[in-house]
Amino acid sequence: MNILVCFKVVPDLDLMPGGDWNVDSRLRVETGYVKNIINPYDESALEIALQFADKADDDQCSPGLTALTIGDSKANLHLKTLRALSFDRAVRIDSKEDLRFRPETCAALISAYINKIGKNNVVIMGRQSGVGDNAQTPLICAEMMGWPCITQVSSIEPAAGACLRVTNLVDDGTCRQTIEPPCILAIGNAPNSYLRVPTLKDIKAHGQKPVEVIDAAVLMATGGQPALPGGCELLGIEAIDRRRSGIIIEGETAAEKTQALYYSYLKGWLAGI
Amino acid sequence: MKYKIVLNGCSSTYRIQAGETGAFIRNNLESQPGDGSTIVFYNDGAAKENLIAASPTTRLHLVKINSYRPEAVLTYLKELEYGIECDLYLFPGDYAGSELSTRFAARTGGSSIAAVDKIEPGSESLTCYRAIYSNYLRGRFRLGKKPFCLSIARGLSAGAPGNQIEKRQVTESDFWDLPENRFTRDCEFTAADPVGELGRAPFILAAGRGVKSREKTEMLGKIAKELGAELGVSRPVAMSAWAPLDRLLGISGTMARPKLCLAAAVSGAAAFYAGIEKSKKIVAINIDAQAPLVRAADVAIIDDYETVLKELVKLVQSGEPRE
Repeated sequence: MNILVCFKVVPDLDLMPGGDWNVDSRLRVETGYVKNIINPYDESALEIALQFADKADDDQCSPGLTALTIGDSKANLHLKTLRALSFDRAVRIDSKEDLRFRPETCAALISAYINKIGKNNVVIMGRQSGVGDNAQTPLICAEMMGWPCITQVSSIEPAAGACLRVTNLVDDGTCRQTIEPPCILAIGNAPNSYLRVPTLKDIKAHGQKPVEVIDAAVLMATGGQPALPGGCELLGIEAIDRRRSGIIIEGETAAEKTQALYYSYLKGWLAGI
Repeated sequence: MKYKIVLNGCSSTYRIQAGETGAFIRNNLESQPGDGSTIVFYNDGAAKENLIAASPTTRLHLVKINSYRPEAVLTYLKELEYGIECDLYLFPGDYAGSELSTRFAARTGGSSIAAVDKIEPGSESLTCYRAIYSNYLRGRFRLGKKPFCLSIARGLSAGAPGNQIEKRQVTESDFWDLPENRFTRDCEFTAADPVGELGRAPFILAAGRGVKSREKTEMLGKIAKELGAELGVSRPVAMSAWAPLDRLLGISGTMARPKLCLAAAVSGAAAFYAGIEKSKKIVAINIDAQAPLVRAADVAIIDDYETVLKELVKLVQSGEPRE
């Protein structure tokens, strides 16, 4: 089994100070002053792949693991960490294009990598990533590859016959299914899937191994099928104003404030429930 | 604009899907009765008369299938719609709808966008609005290639049925015997309540990352019971497995509509706030006066959540008049 895990490095938008959303004339948003993180759904995808590898203890199922991202060099630190966490390959498709709202281009690059270089038969990635929030890349990738796609996946385990036992949420319940690769698995809410931290020993053993960098244009020119037409163009961005009255209850102690809250507001509101 | 609504009649969420998509059409399109129709995929488990009665359009096409698997439904839908001109395919905002809208556009050469909250039709294009930047901002997009395939934003409306329609025009297809897919060897399905206790709760106590441990989360669950509330949690709490996933509030969990929400130790990330913003009243309890939720609440207490909630339980349970 040859597993490709795709991830995206995004600004931690929850750290943006309230109201500091500056949109320029090219509809770009200044986020350079907050730290970058691995998109949380992709972080789950990476950890789930590692957990899968831990469980696949026989040779038939023992997977090759590749971590892939698209973007500029700010992802390199994360790729090195993933190498230290025993990913066999850590690959960055170098692109300086604005891909925020172009899931079809991301899917085309991933598909080109699989077809030309990786020859992977299982692709795992988060269902959605902050910034674009398109929630479409795994689905379009599945269409380009002609592969099935399972969405809202929360766990993946090895199964007999080089198959995967996949648990995923559907709208009125949970499915637990055995599937035969090739396939694309889009990770949704997956408890206990924070990415593990490499030990010093891991870092010494693997952390200095190289990160592969592939030029996006070269990849597409030599191995890619054209992106599916997206036909979705960003015209504008506006802030969402969520302010309510925000009345702060004053008082000397917590008990005093709670009594004021209860008698001035909550008692009446609770009576209406 | 000619439109078709595509619904999953195999699911117990059918009435919600029908209500939400019907409300979206009413709020966004000045359509004539003949402009739209609904395609409903159903199987033996669904009562046809109920599907027909809840359909958001006068005209509907019932498609009998074995079970609702996206791969199979996409194949059937493309076969059904081959050669038919339609401007807009509208899918619900649930998991299946989001998946089908994107993949159907890819198969038909159309354009797609997920989680749309508003549209403005043009002569040859469609302007769509949806949340971006983890729900902190809202983007305006132009779709230029028909058919436009949209899924709507979750929790946009209460999913109430629209105006009663007197007479339906029903046609039917049968794909019952067609092979489904070649990649699934077996599948066990465990049903769950699609709305959940949080979805129905009039009073929610929401716990955020600031509770810091499973033990404290469990303690908040007890306090919620004592207050007569349901416990909801933010994504960091659920992802740490301090509470079950069905307690998750936000864009990746329940989009709740309680009368009252007490949010304890919740910073107020936009993706979480989307799950409580339809609350009639929001109270924030947070040690940090700068937490975004303080500004997005009706009332806030800046103090330790545990002390405040324990005091509140005493007050609620005593019911004593103010001195």
